[in-house]
Amino acid sequence: MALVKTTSLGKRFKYYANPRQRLLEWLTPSRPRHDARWVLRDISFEIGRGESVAFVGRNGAGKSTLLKLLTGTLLPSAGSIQVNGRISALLELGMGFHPDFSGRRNVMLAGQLLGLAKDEILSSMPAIEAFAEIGEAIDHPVRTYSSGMQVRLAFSLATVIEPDILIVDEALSVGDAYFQHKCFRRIRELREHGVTLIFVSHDPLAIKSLCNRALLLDQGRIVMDDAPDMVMDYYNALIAIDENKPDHPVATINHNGRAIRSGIGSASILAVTLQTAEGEAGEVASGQAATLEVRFRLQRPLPELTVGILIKDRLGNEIFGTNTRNLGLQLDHLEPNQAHAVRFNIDRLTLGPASYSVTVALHALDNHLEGNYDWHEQALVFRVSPDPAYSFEGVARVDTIASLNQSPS
Amino acid sequence: MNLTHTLDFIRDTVSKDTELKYRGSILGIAWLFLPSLVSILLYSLVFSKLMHSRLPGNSSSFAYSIYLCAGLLIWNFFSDVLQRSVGAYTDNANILKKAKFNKLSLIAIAAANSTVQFLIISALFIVFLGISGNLSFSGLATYFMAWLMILALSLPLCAIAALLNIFFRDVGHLIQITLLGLFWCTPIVYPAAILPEGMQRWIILNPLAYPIQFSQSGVLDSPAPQLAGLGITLAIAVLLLMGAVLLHRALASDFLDEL
Repeated sequence: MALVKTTSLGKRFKYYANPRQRLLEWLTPSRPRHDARWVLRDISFEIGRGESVAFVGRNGAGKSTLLKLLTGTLLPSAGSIQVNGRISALLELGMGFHPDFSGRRNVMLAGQLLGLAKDEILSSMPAIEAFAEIGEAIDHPVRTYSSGMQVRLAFSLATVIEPDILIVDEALSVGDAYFQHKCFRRIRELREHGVTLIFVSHDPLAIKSLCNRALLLDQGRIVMDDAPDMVMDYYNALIAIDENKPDHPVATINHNGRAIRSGIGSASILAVTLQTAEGEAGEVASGQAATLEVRFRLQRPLPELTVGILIKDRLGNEIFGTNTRNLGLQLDHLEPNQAHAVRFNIDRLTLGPASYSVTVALHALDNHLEGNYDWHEQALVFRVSPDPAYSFEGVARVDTIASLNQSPS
Repeated sequence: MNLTHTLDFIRDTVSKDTELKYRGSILGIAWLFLPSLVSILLYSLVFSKLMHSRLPGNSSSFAYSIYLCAGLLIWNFFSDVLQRSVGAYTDNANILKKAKFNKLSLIAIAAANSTVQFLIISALFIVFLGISGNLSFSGLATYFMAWLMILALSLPLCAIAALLNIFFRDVGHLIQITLLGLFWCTPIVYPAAILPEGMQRWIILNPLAYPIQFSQSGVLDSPAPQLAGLGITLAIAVLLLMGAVLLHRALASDFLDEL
């Protein structure tokens, strides 16, 4: 049975010019006097137990409205929503904390608002105190707390008593790094216990490492439901296209198989190859020299061009990226309608043994958001094989020498 | 939230509200009943002493004060719960926006807060009745029955006012004015008997009149008001209840959007 199920869910907000218009509409219901705006349309998805799902989308895409519908603080205007379990939402950390009461008293009051029973909160109080690590401050008024301390307490309250569904918003960016790490560890732990996670963030790294699925919302609709790295690539393409809209209304995203390609097509990538001393290769030994060659063609004269590469790991985490502008290579006024090749010569490929993908982009400035000519996700996939002479863990090959000091001071 | 959770929540919030209201004050809980006490003293002074008004057919020197309290304390409850409730949703918008719970519990919290205040001042009134030798079981029974009638009348009214106040902030101001008018249209500081005959007939239409007169007559052991008044009070209470249910159903979604 799905834990969360929505069927053709829609949300419409009514806007009235002033309260009098509303009164007039109530009195004469046959004549609507409001502007109806649909912020969510036809949203259908199911989330099963133990899934971790990211909601991705630009501001105004409808993410927070969707969360509010899930938590029941807004009601749908169309379709239905079914939630089978207790939701704990971190989106409003510190909600309802009263400044004059002690942390302990506030935990009781806020916990009841979260739908917890009094004795449940009481018996979890030691664990909440221990996790929040605010010491004796638990008995001091909340107004004496720093914002970080409030977040600690609220996070502890929301997660110590395990919910069926945990909603985590950007709220977690508050607080110090130590506690953030602790929060993420706790979230991972909950996930392992089978708690369903709904995560809303713009941070691709956090999404890729926490979630196994992502839903992309755009203009109130679900435009993609796939693995997080795919969705994030598509999302980035979407932003890039949007930035280009004013002067280039024709931009396309091809989403065939696993690779995503977008751009307005003023220049296009013809081929991307990896070469070692032995010629074109799909595998490079760690620490070896390699060359990435990008062949491309300009469809029309362009005053400037930047060729960028981005190496990502299997999960889509960004490992290394650079472009011709950063490297000091000018590509202005290249001859159109003829093939060119840019070679990125890598002296020593200091990556660990694993599989990597390369994203290649042709764009105008040093920022791919402006003048995105052609942008090819996973244009190339290659493997790095272990170097028998230098064995290590991880993706970064940091040259290290170990030595023994016989008499440390 | 199930019922026990809701009740726990209401109890804790009421004790929080009471604590907050009087925290940092010297007289503390005395502020719960001081305003009522002062108004009783003032009305007693003005009506009973300066204007030499006596209740028809009762010569006791305390009679007017007792008459006044029997009505005024119940009126004060009505006025207090309505003024608290009208902002119950608007003032708690931040919680309503963030957590899903039965919003009617906010009305219950307002009513419970007013009830605490009512019970404290009633205890003082009962002591006064005892000292002046006017305490009787039947008197107390009618007094609290009258309060229950007012409660039945005010709860749906509070829910409607709180809901409409979300959409039209005029409601809060409107309530202030209406309460002022209603106070003088109800025989609280004056007995209905002093009104001209023509007006006496109309007063029965005021749903507050019957419970107040019922309490006054019970406490002073004078003839009870016409039973028809009870019918009108109950009928209006039922109509208000239906209205409250229908409005809350119809506006459930708009209400949350508007917060």
